[in-house]
Amino acid sequence: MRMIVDHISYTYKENKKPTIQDVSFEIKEKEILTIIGQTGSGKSTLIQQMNGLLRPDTGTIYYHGKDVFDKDYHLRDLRSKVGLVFQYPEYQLFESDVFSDVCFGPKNQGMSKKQAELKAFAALRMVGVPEELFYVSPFELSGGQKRRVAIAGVLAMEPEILILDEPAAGLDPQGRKELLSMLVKLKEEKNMSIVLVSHSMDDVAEYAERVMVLRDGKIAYLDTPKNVFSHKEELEAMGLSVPQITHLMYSVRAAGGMVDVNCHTIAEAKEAILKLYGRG
Amino acid sequence: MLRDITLGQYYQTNSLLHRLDPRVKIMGTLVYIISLFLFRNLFVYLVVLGCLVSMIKLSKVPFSFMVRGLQPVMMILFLTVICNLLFTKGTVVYSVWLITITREGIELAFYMTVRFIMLIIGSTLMTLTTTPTQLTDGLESVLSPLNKIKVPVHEVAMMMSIALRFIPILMEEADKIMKAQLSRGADFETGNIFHRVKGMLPILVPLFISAFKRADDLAMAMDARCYRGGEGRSKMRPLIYKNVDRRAYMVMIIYLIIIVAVGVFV
Ligand SMILES: Nc1ncnc2c1ncn2[C@@H]1O[C@H](COP(=O)(O)OP(=O)(O)O)[C@@H](O)[C@H]1O
Ligand SMILES: [Mg+2]
Repeated sequence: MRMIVDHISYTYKENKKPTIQDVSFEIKEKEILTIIGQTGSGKSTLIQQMNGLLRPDTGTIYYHGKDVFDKDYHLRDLRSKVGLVFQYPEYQLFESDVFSDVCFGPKNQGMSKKQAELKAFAALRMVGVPEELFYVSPFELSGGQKRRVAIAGVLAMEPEILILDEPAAGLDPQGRKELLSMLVKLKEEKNMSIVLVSHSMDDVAEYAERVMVLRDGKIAYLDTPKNVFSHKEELEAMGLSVPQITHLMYSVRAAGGMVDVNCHTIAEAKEAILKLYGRG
Repeated sequence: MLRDITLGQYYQTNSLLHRLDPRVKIMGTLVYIISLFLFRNLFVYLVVLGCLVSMIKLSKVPFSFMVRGLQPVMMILFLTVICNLLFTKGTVVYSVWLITITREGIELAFYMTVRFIMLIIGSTLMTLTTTPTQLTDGLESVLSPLNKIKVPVHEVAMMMSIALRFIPILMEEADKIMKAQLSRGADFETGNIFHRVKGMLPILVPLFISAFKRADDLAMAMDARCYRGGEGRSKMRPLIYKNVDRRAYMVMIIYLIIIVAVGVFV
Protein backbone atom coordinates (compact mmCIF):
# COMPACT_ATOMS: atom_id res chain seq x y z
CA MET A 1 0.00 0.00 0.00
CA ARG A 2 1.75 3.15 -1.11
CA MET A 3 -0.90 5.72 -0.42
CA ILE A 4 -4.06 5.69 1.61
CA VAL A 5 -6.63 8.41 1.05
CA ASP A 6 -8.74 8.49 4.17
CA HIS A 7 -12.23 10.05 4.09
CA ILE A 8 -11.24 13.36 2.50
CA SER A 9 -13.68 16.15 1.72
CA TYR A 10 -12.92 19.46 0.07
CA THR A 11 -14.87 22.60 -0.78
CA TYR A 12 -13.45 25.47 -2.83
CA LYS A 13 -13.70 28.79 -0.99
CA GLU A 14 -15.84 30.35 -3.69
CA ASN A 15 -18.31 27.44 -3.92
CA LYS A 16 -20.94 26.33 -1.47
CA LYS A 17 -21.23 22.76 -2.65
CA PRO A 18 -18.38 20.46 -1.68
CA THR A 19 -16.29 19.33 -4.66
CA ILE A 20 -14.95 16.19 -2.96
CA GLN A 21 -17.13 14.36 -0.46
CA ASP A 22 -15.86 11.68 1.85
CA VAL A 23 -13.57 9.90 -0.59
CA SER A 24 -11.44 6.96 0.54
CA PHE A 25 -9.27 4.59 -1.46
CA GLU A 26 -5.74 3.33 -1.63
CA ILE A 27 -3.04 3.10 -4.25
CA LYS A 28 -1.25 -0.19 -4.46
CA GLU A 29 2.25 -0.86 -5.65
CA LYS A 30 2.65 -1.44 -9.36
CA GLU A 31 -0.89 -0.87 -10.52
CA ILE A 32 -2.73 1.29 -13.00
CA LEU A 33 -5.73 2.97 -11.42
CA THR A 34 -7.89 5.05 -13.72
CA ILE A 35 -10.32 7.74 -12.66
CA ILE A 36 -13.33 8.46 -14.85
CA GLY A 37 -16.22 10.83 -14.36
CA GLN A 38 -18.13 13.58 -16.08
CA THR A 39 -16.52 17.00 -16.47
CA GLY A 40 -16.87 18.78 -13.15
CA SER A 41 -17.12 15.61 -11.10
CA GLY A 42 -13.97 16.55 -9.20
CA LYS A 43 -11.24 14.45 -10.84
CA SER A 44 -8.71 17.24 -11.16
CA THR A 45 -9.45 18.44 -7.64
CA LEU A 46 -8.99 14.97 -6.20
CA ILE A 47 -5.59 14.41 -7.76
CA GLN A 48 -4.34 17.77 -6.54
CA GLN A 49 -5.01 16.63 -3.00
CA MET A 50 -2.88 13.58 -3.61
CA ASN A 51 0.35 15.54 -3.86
CA GLY A 52 -0.54 18.18 -1.32
CA LEU A 53 -1.35 21.07 -3.65
CA LEU A 54 -4.78 21.33 -2.08
CA ARG A 55 -5.34 20.45 1.54
CA PRO A 56 -8.54 18.52 2.32
CA ASP A 57 -10.91 20.20 4.77
CA THR A 58 -11.43 16.95 6.60
CA GLY A 59 -9.78 13.57 6.36
CA THR A 60 -6.16 12.95 5.51
CA ILE A 61 -3.75 11.17 3.24
CA TYR A 62 -1.09 8.69 4.31
CA TYR A 63 1.99 8.09 2.22
CA HIS A 64 3.89 5.00 3.34
CA GLY A 65 2.05 5.21 6.64
CA LYS A 66 2.87 8.85 7.33
CA ASP A 67 0.25 11.59 7.50
CA VAL A 68 1.34 14.00 4.77
CA PHE A 69 -0.52 16.96 6.28
CA ASP A 70 1.34 16.61 9.57
CA LYS A 71 3.22 19.75 10.59
CA ASP A 72 6.65 18.13 10.35
CA TYR A 73 6.03 16.41 7.02
CA HIS A 74 7.58 18.31 4.12
CA LEU A 75 5.19 18.49 1.19
CA ARG A 76 8.17 18.96 -1.13
CA ASP A 77 9.30 15.44 -0.26
CA LEU A 78 5.84 14.16 -1.07
CA ARG A 79 5.80 15.99 -4.39
CA SER A 80 9.05 14.45 -5.48
CA LYS A 81 7.63 10.97 -4.78
CA VAL A 82 4.15 11.59 -6.14
CA GLY A 83 4.58 13.11 -9.59
CA LEU A 84 1.64 15.02 -10.99
CA VAL A 85 1.29 15.71 -14.71
CA PHE A 86 -1.37 18.36 -15.23
CA GLN A 87 -3.79 18.57 -18.11
CA TYR A 88 -2.02 20.23 -21.04
CA PRO A 89 1.33 20.06 -19.25
CA GLU A 90 3.09 21.69 -22.20
CA TYR A 91 2.11 25.07 -20.71
CA GLN A 92 4.58 24.62 -17.87
CA LEU A 93 7.71 24.60 -20.09
CA PHE A 94 9.88 27.64 -19.51
CA GLU A 95 13.59 26.94 -20.05
CA SER A 96 15.52 27.93 -23.16
CA ASP A 97 16.13 24.33 -24.18
CA VAL A 98 14.39 21.01 -23.72
CA PHE A 99 17.17 19.41 -21.71
CA SER A 100 17.42 22.17 -19.07
CA ASP A 101 13.67 22.15 -18.68
CA VAL A 102 13.66 18.47 -17.82
CA CYS A 103 16.55 19.09 -15.38
CA PHE A 104 14.42 21.55 -13.39
CA GLY A 105 12.67 18.91 -11.27
CA PRO A 106 15.73 16.82 -10.32
CA LYS A 107 17.68 19.99 -9.49
CA ASN A 108 14.90 21.08 -7.15
CA GLN A 109 15.26 17.72 -5.46
CA GLY A 110 18.80 18.77 -4.58
CA MET A 111 20.67 16.58 -7.05
CA SER A 112 24.01 17.67 -8.45
CA LYS A 113 24.12 18.96 -12.02
CA LYS A 114 25.65 15.72 -13.22
CA GLN A 115 23.03 13.54 -11.52
CA ALA A 116 20.19 15.73 -12.71
CA GLU A 117 21.44 15.50 -16.27
CA LEU A 118 21.61 11.73 -16.08
CA LYS A 119 18.02 11.59 -14.86
CA ALA A 120 16.88 14.03 -17.53
CA PHE A 121 18.61 12.01 -20.22
CA ALA A 122 16.96 8.79 -19.06
CA ALA A 123 13.54 10.43 -18.81
CA LEU A 124 13.71 11.96 -22.28
CA ARG A 125 14.75 8.58 -23.66
CA MET A 126 11.86 6.94 -21.86
CA VAL A 127 9.25 9.23 -23.44
CA GLY A 128 10.87 8.87 -26.85
CA VAL A 129 12.19 12.36 -27.54
CA PRO A 130 15.01 11.98 -30.10
CA GLU A 131 18.43 13.31 -29.12
CA GLU A 132 18.61 15.93 -31.83
CA LEU A 133 15.76 17.76 -30.11
CA PHE A 134 17.47 17.95 -26.70
CA TYR A 135 18.95 21.39 -27.25
CA VAL A 136 16.24 23.14 -29.22
CA SER A 137 13.81 25.55 -27.56
CA PRO A 138 10.78 23.71 -26.21
CA PHE A 139 8.57 26.30 -27.86
CA GLU A 140 9.66 25.18 -31.32
CA LEU A 141 8.42 21.63 -30.82
CA SER A 142 5.12 20.24 -32.04
CA GLY A 143 2.27 19.85 -29.57
CA GLY A 144 2.81 16.13 -29.10
CA GLN A 145 6.54 16.55 -28.56
CA LYS A 146 5.99 19.32 -26.02
CA ARG A 147 3.67 16.99 -24.15
CA ARG A 148 6.37 14.32 -24.03
CA VAL A 149 8.97 16.79 -22.78
CA ALA A 150 6.61 17.98 -20.05
CA ILE A 151 5.95 14.40 -18.96
CA ALA A 152 9.70 13.74 -18.97
CA GLY A 153 10.07 16.75 -16.66
CA VAL A 154 8.04 14.89 -14.04
CA LEU A 155 9.48 11.43 -14.78
CA ALA A 156 13.02 12.75 -14.26
CA MET A 157 12.17 13.16 -10.58
CA GLU A 158 11.64 9.38 -10.47
CA PRO A 159 8.33 9.37 -8.61
CA GLU A 160 6.88 6.20 -7.11
CA ILE A 161 3.36 7.26 -7.99
CA LEU A 162 2.73 9.01 -11.29
CA ILE A 163 -0.58 10.83 -11.65
CA LEU A 164 -1.64 12.07 -15.07
CA ASP A 165 -4.66 14.28 -15.80
CA GLU A 166 -6.04 13.38 -19.22
CA PRO A 167 -2.58 13.03 -20.73
CA ALA A 168 -3.88 11.84 -24.10
CA ALA A 169 -6.19 14.83 -24.70
CA GLY A 170 -5.42 16.35 -28.06
CA LEU A 171 -2.91 13.71 -29.16
CA ASP A 172 -3.22 11.84 -32.44
CA PRO A 173 -4.07 8.10 -32.26
CA GLN A 174 -0.44 7.08 -32.74
CA GLY A 175 0.78 9.44 -30.01
CA ARG A 176 -1.92 8.26 -27.69
CA LYS A 177 -1.00 4.63 -28.15
CA GLU A 178 2.68 5.34 -27.57
CA LEU A 179 1.89 7.29 -24.44
CA LEU A 180 -0.24 4.52 -22.98
CA SER A 181 2.26 1.79 -23.72
CA MET A 182 4.92 3.95 -22.11
CA LEU A 183 2.81 4.05 -18.96
CA VAL A 184 2.53 0.27 -18.96
CA LYS A 185 6.29 0.05 -19.38
CA LEU A 186 6.87 2.41 -16.45
CA LYS A 187 4.67 0.27 -14.30
CA GLU A 188 6.36 -2.98 -15.33
CA GLU A 189 9.98 -1.84 -15.36
CA LYS A 190 10.09 0.81 -12.65
CA ASN A 191 7.37 -0.61 -10.42
CA MET A 192 5.50 2.66 -10.56
CA SER A 193 1.89 3.09 -9.56
CA ILE A 194 0.05 4.99 -12.25
CA VAL A 195 -3.09 7.03 -11.63
CA LEU A 196 -4.67 8.00 -14.90
CA VAL A 197 -7.56 10.38 -15.40
CA SER A 198 -9.09 9.41 -18.72
CA HIS A 199 -12.10 10.01 -20.91
CA SER A 200 -11.54 7.03 -23.13
CA MET A 201 -13.43 3.98 -21.92
CA ASP A 202 -11.55 1.86 -24.45
CA ASP A 203 -8.23 2.83 -22.92
CA VAL A 204 -9.56 2.26 -19.44
CA ALA A 205 -10.80 -1.23 -20.30
CA GLU A 206 -7.54 -2.13 -21.93
CA TYR A 207 -4.96 -0.75 -19.52
CA ALA A 208 -6.46 -0.33 -16.05
CA GLU A 209 -6.34 -2.80 -13.21
CA ARG A 210 -8.90 -0.79 -11.27
CA VAL A 211 -11.35 1.94 -12.21
CA MET A 212 -12.71 4.65 -9.97
CA VAL A 213 -15.92 6.33 -11.11
CA LEU A 214 -16.51 9.76 -9.60
CA ARG A 215 -19.96 11.27 -9.48
CA ASP A 216 -20.42 14.74 -7.92
CA GLY A 217 -17.29 14.32 -5.85
CA LYS A 218 -18.19 10.89 -4.48
CA ILE A 219 -16.93 7.48 -5.48
CA ALA A 220 -19.72 5.75 -7.38
CA TYR A 221 -17.70 2.63 -8.21
CA LEU A 222 -14.20 1.44 -7.47
CA ASP A 223 -13.57 -1.96 -8.96
CA THR A 224 -12.04 -3.88 -11.85
CA PRO A 225 -12.96 -2.60 -15.32
CA LYS A 226 -15.00 -5.75 -15.87
CA ASN A 227 -17.20 -5.16 -12.87
CA VAL A 228 -17.52 -1.43 -13.42
CA PHE A 229 -18.46 -1.70 -17.08
CA SER A 230 -21.15 -4.26 -16.28
CA HIS A 231 -23.16 -1.28 -14.96
CA LYS A 232 -23.92 0.00 -18.45
CA GLU A 233 -27.16 1.80 -17.62
CA GLU A 234 -25.86 3.50 -14.48
CA LEU A 235 -22.76 4.72 -16.30
CA GLU A 236 -24.82 6.11 -19.13
CA ALA A 237 -27.06 7.89 -16.66
CA MET A 238 -23.91 9.61 -15.36
CA GLY A 239 -23.00 10.84 -18.83
CA LEU A 240 -20.31 8.18 -19.20
CA SER A 241 -20.36 5.14 -21.41
CA VAL A 242 -18.95 1.66 -21.86
CA PRO A 243 -16.18 0.69 -24.33
CA GLN A 244 -17.08 0.64 -28.03
CA ILE A 245 -16.62 -3.08 -28.17
CA THR A 246 -19.19 -3.57 -25.40
CA HIS A 247 -21.71 -1.62 -27.46
CA LEU A 248 -20.95 -3.99 -30.31
CA MET A 249 -21.62 -7.00 -28.11
CA TYR A 250 -24.96 -5.53 -27.07
CA SER A 251 -25.84 -5.13 -30.76
CA VAL A 252 -24.86 -8.71 -31.47
CA ARG A 253 -27.05 -9.79 -28.59
CA ALA A 254 -29.94 -7.65 -29.85
CA ALA A 255 -29.60 -9.24 -33.28
CA GLY A 256 -30.09 -12.64 -31.71
CA GLY A 257 -26.51 -13.82 -31.19
CA MET A 258 -26.36 -15.31 -27.70
CA VAL A 259 -23.03 -13.82 -26.65
CA ASP A 260 -21.85 -12.63 -23.25
CA VAL A 261 -22.30 -8.86 -23.41
CA ASN A 262 -19.87 -8.30 -20.59
CA CYS A 263 -16.82 -8.06 -22.89
CA HIS A 264 -14.72 -4.93 -22.72
CA THR A 265 -11.61 -5.59 -24.74
CA ILE A 266 -11.21 -6.73 -28.31
CA ALA A 267 -9.57 -9.95 -27.15
CA GLU A 268 -12.54 -10.86 -24.95
CA ALA A 269 -15.00 -10.01 -27.69
CA LYS A 270 -13.13 -12.16 -30.17
CA GLU A 271 -13.32 -15.12 -27.79
CA ALA A 272 -17.02 -14.62 -27.24
CA ILE A 273 -17.85 -14.32 -30.91
CA LEU A 274 -15.75 -17.31 -31.88
CA LYS A 275 -17.51 -19.30 -29.17
CA LEU A 276 -20.83 -18.29 -30.71
CA TYR A 277 -19.74 -20.06 -33.88
CA GLY A 278 -18.56 -23.05 -31.90
CA ARG A 279 -14.90 -22.48 -32.56
CA GLY A 280 -13.94 -21.17 -29.11
CA MET B 1 -4.23 32.00 -4.13
CA LEU B 2 -4.54 34.82 -6.66
CA ARG B 3 -8.30 34.87 -6.81
CA ASP B 4 -8.85 37.27 -3.91
CA ILE B 5 -8.44 40.51 -5.86
CA THR B 6 -11.87 42.06 -6.34
CA LEU B 7 -10.82 45.27 -8.09
CA GLY B 8 -12.26 45.15 -11.58
CA GLN B 9 -14.61 42.29 -10.80
CA TYR B 10 -18.35 42.04 -11.15
CA TYR B 11 -20.74 40.80 -8.48
CA GLN B 12 -23.92 39.33 -9.90
CA THR B 13 -27.20 40.33 -8.23
CA ASN B 14 -30.19 42.43 -9.15
CA SER B 15 -30.16 45.81 -7.44
CA LEU B 16 -31.01 49.38 -8.34
CA LEU B 17 -27.33 50.16 -8.81
CA HIS B 18 -26.91 47.17 -11.12
CA ARG B 19 -29.74 48.41 -13.32
CA LEU B 20 -28.50 51.99 -13.67
CA ASP B 21 -27.03 53.12 -16.96
CA PRO B 22 -23.21 52.74 -16.85
CA ARG B 23 -22.77 56.39 -17.86
CA VAL B 24 -24.66 57.44 -14.74
CA LYS B 25 -22.43 55.28 -12.60
CA ILE B 26 -19.26 56.61 -14.19
CA MET B 27 -20.37 60.20 -13.71
CA GLY B 28 -21.51 59.36 -10.20
CA THR B 29 -18.13 57.90 -9.33
CA LEU B 30 -16.46 60.98 -10.75
CA VAL B 31 -18.68 63.26 -8.66
CA TYR B 32 -17.94 61.11 -5.64
CA ILE B 33 -14.18 61.31 -6.17
CA ILE B 34 -14.34 65.09 -6.64
CA SER B 35 -16.38 65.41 -3.45
CA LEU B 36 -13.67 63.45 -1.60
CA PHE B 37 -10.96 65.92 -2.57
CA LEU B 38 -12.91 69.17 -2.48
CA PHE B 39 -12.70 69.89 1.25
CA ARG B 40 -10.64 68.75 4.20
CA ASN B 41 -13.44 68.89 6.68
CA LEU B 42 -14.65 66.21 9.04
CA PHE B 43 -18.34 66.98 8.49
CA VAL B 44 -17.98 66.67 4.72
CA TYR B 45 -16.49 63.23 5.23
CA LEU B 46 -19.39 62.25 7.44
CA VAL B 47 -21.81 63.17 4.63
CA VAL B 48 -19.68 61.30 2.09
CA LEU B 49 -19.51 58.29 4.39
CA GLY B 50 -23.26 58.33 4.86
CA CYS B 51 -23.75 58.32 1.10
CA LEU B 52 -21.22 55.56 0.58
CA VAL B 53 -22.89 53.35 3.18
CA SER B 54 -26.33 53.86 1.67
CA MET B 55 -24.95 53.10 -1.82
CA ILE B 56 -23.41 49.88 -0.52
CA LYS B 57 -26.77 48.96 1.03
CA LEU B 58 -28.52 49.77 -2.27
CA SER B 59 -26.07 47.65 -4.26
CA LYS B 60 -26.83 44.46 -2.27
CA VAL B 61 -23.17 43.50 -2.56
CA PRO B 62 -21.91 41.99 0.71
CA PHE B 63 -19.64 44.40 2.54
CA SER B 64 -16.97 41.70 2.95
CA PHE B 65 -16.48 41.84 -0.83
CA MET B 66 -15.39 45.47 -0.75
CA VAL B 67 -13.07 44.88 2.16
CA ARG B 68 -11.44 42.07 0.23
CA GLY B 69 -10.72 44.59 -2.51
CA LEU B 70 -8.88 46.68 0.05
CA GLN B 71 -6.47 43.99 1.19
CA PRO B 72 -3.99 44.17 -1.72
CA VAL B 73 -3.51 47.95 -1.29
CA MET B 74 -3.18 47.83 2.51
CA MET B 75 0.62 47.76 2.27
CA ILE B 76 0.75 50.94 0.15
CA LEU B 77 -1.66 52.65 2.50
CA PHE B 78 0.42 51.65 5.51
CA LEU B 79 3.59 53.05 3.93
CA THR B 80 1.96 56.40 3.09
CA VAL B 81 0.65 56.71 6.63
CA ILE B 82 4.12 56.05 8.06
CA CYS B 83 5.76 58.54 5.68
CA ASN B 84 3.18 61.20 6.46
CA LEU B 85 3.57 60.69 10.17
CA LEU B 86 7.36 60.83 10.13
CA PHE B 87 8.19 63.45 7.54
CA THR B 88 5.60 66.20 7.97
CA LYS B 89 6.96 69.37 9.58
CA GLY B 90 4.94 71.44 12.07
CA THR B 91 4.11 71.60 15.76
CA VAL B 92 5.73 68.69 17.54
CA VAL B 93 3.49 66.61 19.76
CA TYR B 94 5.75 63.66 20.41
CA SER B 95 9.47 63.18 19.97
CA VAL B 96 11.80 60.28 20.68
CA TRP B 97 15.40 60.05 19.43
CA LEU B 98 15.16 60.58 15.63
CA ILE B 99 11.40 60.26 15.45
CA THR B 100 9.24 63.33 15.72
CA ILE B 101 5.54 63.30 15.17
CA THR B 102 3.70 66.52 14.44
CA ARG B 103 0.11 67.60 14.70
CA GLU B 104 0.04 68.32 10.99
CA GLY B 105 1.49 64.88 10.29
CA ILE B 106 -1.25 63.14 12.24
CA GLU B 107 -3.90 65.20 10.51
CA LEU B 108 -2.47 64.55 7.06
CA ALA B 109 -2.12 60.82 7.72
CA PHE B 110 -5.71 60.65 8.94
CA TYR B 111 -7.15 62.42 5.91
CA MET B 112 -4.98 60.42 3.55
CA THR B 113 -6.24 57.16 5.03
CA VAL B 114 -9.87 58.22 4.93
CA ARG B 115 -9.65 59.45 1.34
CA PHE B 116 -7.73 56.45 0.16
CA ILE B 117 -10.06 53.88 1.70
CA MET B 118 -13.19 55.69 0.53
CA LEU B 119 -11.73 56.14 -2.93
CA ILE B 120 -10.99 52.44 -3.30
CA ILE B 121 -14.33 51.31 -1.87
CA GLY B 122 -16.24 53.78 -4.05
CA SER B 123 -14.59 52.73 -7.28
CA THR B 124 -14.78 49.05 -6.34
CA LEU B 125 -18.51 49.57 -5.90
CA MET B 126 -18.76 50.77 -9.49
CA THR B 127 -16.91 47.80 -10.96
CA LEU B 128 -18.80 45.38 -8.71
CA THR B 129 -22.16 46.60 -10.00
CA THR B 130 -21.24 47.08 -13.68
CA THR B 131 -20.32 44.32 -16.09
CA PRO B 132 -17.06 44.93 -17.96
CA THR B 133 -18.96 45.28 -21.24
CA GLN B 134 -21.28 47.91 -19.80
CA LEU B 135 -18.35 49.68 -18.23
CA THR B 136 -16.45 50.05 -21.48
CA ASP B 137 -19.60 50.98 -23.39
CA GLY B 138 -20.23 53.66 -20.81
CA LEU B 139 -16.66 54.93 -20.92
CA GLU B 140 -16.70 55.01 -24.69
CA SER B 141 -19.85 57.06 -24.63
CA VAL B 142 -18.70 59.40 -21.85
CA LEU B 143 -15.35 59.99 -23.52
CA SER B 144 -16.69 60.27 -27.07
CA PRO B 145 -16.25 64.08 -27.20
CA LEU B 146 -12.51 63.40 -27.17
CA ASN B 147 -12.92 61.91 -30.66
CA LYS B 148 -12.95 65.49 -31.90
CA ILE B 149 -9.36 65.97 -30.83
CA LYS B 150 -8.35 62.70 -32.51
CA VAL B 151 -8.25 60.49 -29.41
CA PRO B 152 -9.09 56.92 -30.55
CA VAL B 153 -11.79 56.48 -27.91
CA HIS B 154 -13.32 53.31 -29.34
CA GLU B 155 -9.96 51.60 -29.62
CA VAL B 156 -9.00 52.54 -26.07
CA ALA B 157 -12.34 51.28 -24.77
CA MET B 158 -11.91 48.03 -26.71
CA MET B 159 -8.42 47.57 -25.29
CA MET B 160 -9.78 48.14 -21.82
CA SER B 161 -12.59 45.67 -22.19
CA ILE B 162 -10.21 43.03 -23.53
CA ALA B 163 -7.82 43.64 -20.66
CA LEU B 164 -10.62 43.35 -18.11
CA ARG B 165 -11.90 40.22 -19.78
CA PHE B 166 -8.51 38.58 -19.56
CA ILE B 167 -7.72 39.34 -15.93
CA PRO B 168 -9.56 36.31 -14.51
CA ILE B 169 -8.32 34.05 -17.29
CA LEU B 170 -4.70 34.98 -16.71
CA MET B 171 -5.12 34.64 -12.95
CA GLU B 172 -6.46 31.15 -13.36
CA GLU B 173 -3.61 30.36 -15.69
CA ALA B 174 -1.04 31.72 -13.24
CA ASP B 175 -2.58 29.57 -10.56
CA LYS B 176 -2.33 26.48 -12.75
CA ILE B 177 1.25 27.12 -13.80
CA MET B 178 2.23 27.78 -10.22
CA LYS B 179 0.77 24.46 -9.14
CA ALA B 180 2.50 22.66 -11.99
CA GLN B 181 5.88 24.09 -11.00
CA LEU B 182 5.25 23.36 -7.32
CA SER B 183 4.69 19.75 -8.36
CA ARG B 184 8.13 19.81 -9.90
CA GLY B 185 9.60 20.89 -6.58
CA ALA B 186 9.81 24.61 -7.33
CA ASP B 187 10.25 26.86 -4.32
CA PHE B 188 8.87 30.40 -4.26
CA GLU B 189 9.14 31.15 -0.58
CA THR B 190 12.64 30.68 0.74
CA GLY B 191 15.95 32.33 -0.09
CA ASN B 192 17.07 35.91 -0.58
CA ILE B 193 15.45 38.38 -2.96
CA PHE B 194 17.53 37.36 -6.00
CA HIS B 195 16.70 33.77 -5.38
CA ARG B 196 13.01 34.56 -5.21
CA VAL B 197 12.96 36.69 -8.33
CA LYS B 198 14.71 33.89 -10.15
CA GLY B 199 12.18 31.51 -8.66
CA MET B 200 9.38 33.47 -10.37
CA LEU B 201 10.77 32.80 -13.85
CA PRO B 202 9.20 29.34 -14.17
CA ILE B 203 5.83 31.05 -13.68
CA LEU B 204 6.35 34.26 -15.63
CA VAL B 205 7.82 32.76 -18.80
CA PRO B 206 4.93 30.36 -19.47
CA LEU B 207 2.42 33.01 -18.44
CA PHE B 208 3.77 35.54 -20.93
CA ILE B 209 3.99 32.98 -23.67
CA SER B 210 0.40 31.97 -23.16
CA ALA B 211 -0.74 35.60 -22.95
CA PHE B 212 0.92 36.34 -26.31
CA LYS B 213 -0.60 33.24 -27.79
CA ARG B 214 -4.04 34.22 -26.57
CA ALA B 215 -3.60 37.71 -27.95
CA ASP B 216 -2.66 36.25 -31.31
CA ASP B 217 -5.66 33.95 -31.33
CA LEU B 218 -8.00 36.75 -30.36
CA ALA B 219 -6.64 39.06 -33.05
CA MET B 220 -7.16 36.28 -35.58
CA ALA B 221 -10.71 35.68 -34.39
CA MET B 222 -11.50 39.40 -34.59
CA ASP B 223 -10.04 39.60 -38.07
CA ALA B 224 -12.07 36.60 -39.15
CA ARG B 225 -15.21 38.49 -38.11
CA CYS B 226 -14.15 41.57 -40.06
CA TYR B 227 -13.49 43.81 -37.07
CA ARG B 228 -11.97 47.07 -38.31
CA GLY B 229 -12.24 49.56 -35.50
CA GLY B 230 -14.90 51.94 -34.31
CA GLU B 231 -15.83 53.83 -37.45
CA GLY B 232 -19.41 53.15 -38.53
CA ARG B 233 -19.78 50.41 -35.93
CA SER B 234 -23.22 50.18 -34.35
CA LYS B 235 -24.15 48.62 -31.05
CA MET B 236 -26.35 45.63 -30.40
CA ARG B 237 -27.57 47.26 -27.20
CA PRO B 238 -27.21 51.03 -27.47
CA LEU B 239 -27.22 52.92 -24.17
CA ILE B 240 -30.50 54.73 -23.61
CA TYR B 241 -31.31 56.82 -20.54
CA LYS B 242 -34.39 55.78 -18.57
CA ASN B 243 -36.32 57.64 -15.88
CA VAL B 244 -34.27 56.12 -13.05
CA ASP B 245 -31.14 57.43 -14.70
CA ARG B 246 -32.50 60.96 -14.87
CA ARG B 247 -33.46 60.78 -11.22
CA ALA B 248 -29.99 59.50 -10.36
CA TYR B 249 -28.47 62.56 -12.04
CA MET B 250 -30.73 64.75 -9.92
CA VAL B 251 -29.55 62.97 -6.77
CA MET B 252 -25.95 63.60 -7.83
CA ILE B 253 -26.56 67.33 -8.24
CA ILE B 254 -28.29 67.53 -4.86
CA TYR B 255 -25.39 65.61 -3.33
CA LEU B 256 -22.85 68.05 -4.73
CA ILE B 257 -24.83 71.01 -3.48
CA ILE B 258 -25.02 69.53 0.02
CA ILE B 259 -21.28 68.80 0.04
CA VAL B 260 -20.41 72.32 -1.05
CA ALA B 261 -22.83 73.80 1.46
CA VAL B 262 -21.43 71.75 4.33
CA GLY B 263 -17.86 72.41 3.23
CA VAL B 264 -18.29 76.16 3.01
CA PHE B 265 -20.63 76.88 5.94
CA VAL B 266 -19.88 74.26 8.61
N1 LIG C 1 -9.84 26.64 -8.79
C1 LIG C 1 -11.14 26.46 -8.58
N2 LIG C 1 -11.87 27.33 -7.86
C2 LIG C 1 -13.18 27.14 -7.64
N3 LIG C 1 -13.86 26.10 -8.06
C3 LIG C 1 -13.23 25.18 -8.79
C4 LIG C 1 -11.83 25.30 -9.08
N4 LIG C 1 -11.45 24.23 -9.81
C5 LIG C 1 -12.56 23.48 -9.96
N5 LIG C 1 -13.62 24.03 -9.36
C6 LIG C 1 -14.98 23.47 -9.29
O1 LIG C 1 -14.91 22.17 -8.78
C7 LIG C 1 -15.70 21.27 -9.52
C8 LIG C 1 -14.87 20.10 -9.99
O2 LIG C 1 -13.91 20.53 -10.90
P1 LIG C 1 -12.74 19.60 -11.42
O3 LIG C 1 -12.05 19.01 -10.25
O4 LIG C 1 -11.92 20.42 -12.35
O5 LIG C 1 -13.53 18.48 -12.20
P2 LIG C 1 -13.06 17.55 -13.41
O6 LIG C 1 -11.57 17.54 -13.46
O7 LIG C 1 -13.66 16.22 -13.07
O8 LIG C 1 -13.69 18.11 -14.64
C9 LIG C 1 -16.32 22.06 -10.64
O9 LIG C 1 -17.65 22.30 -10.32
C10 LIG C 1 -15.56 23.36 -10.68
O10 LIG C 1 -16.42 24.42 -10.94
MG1 LIG D 1 -10.27 18.09 -15.02
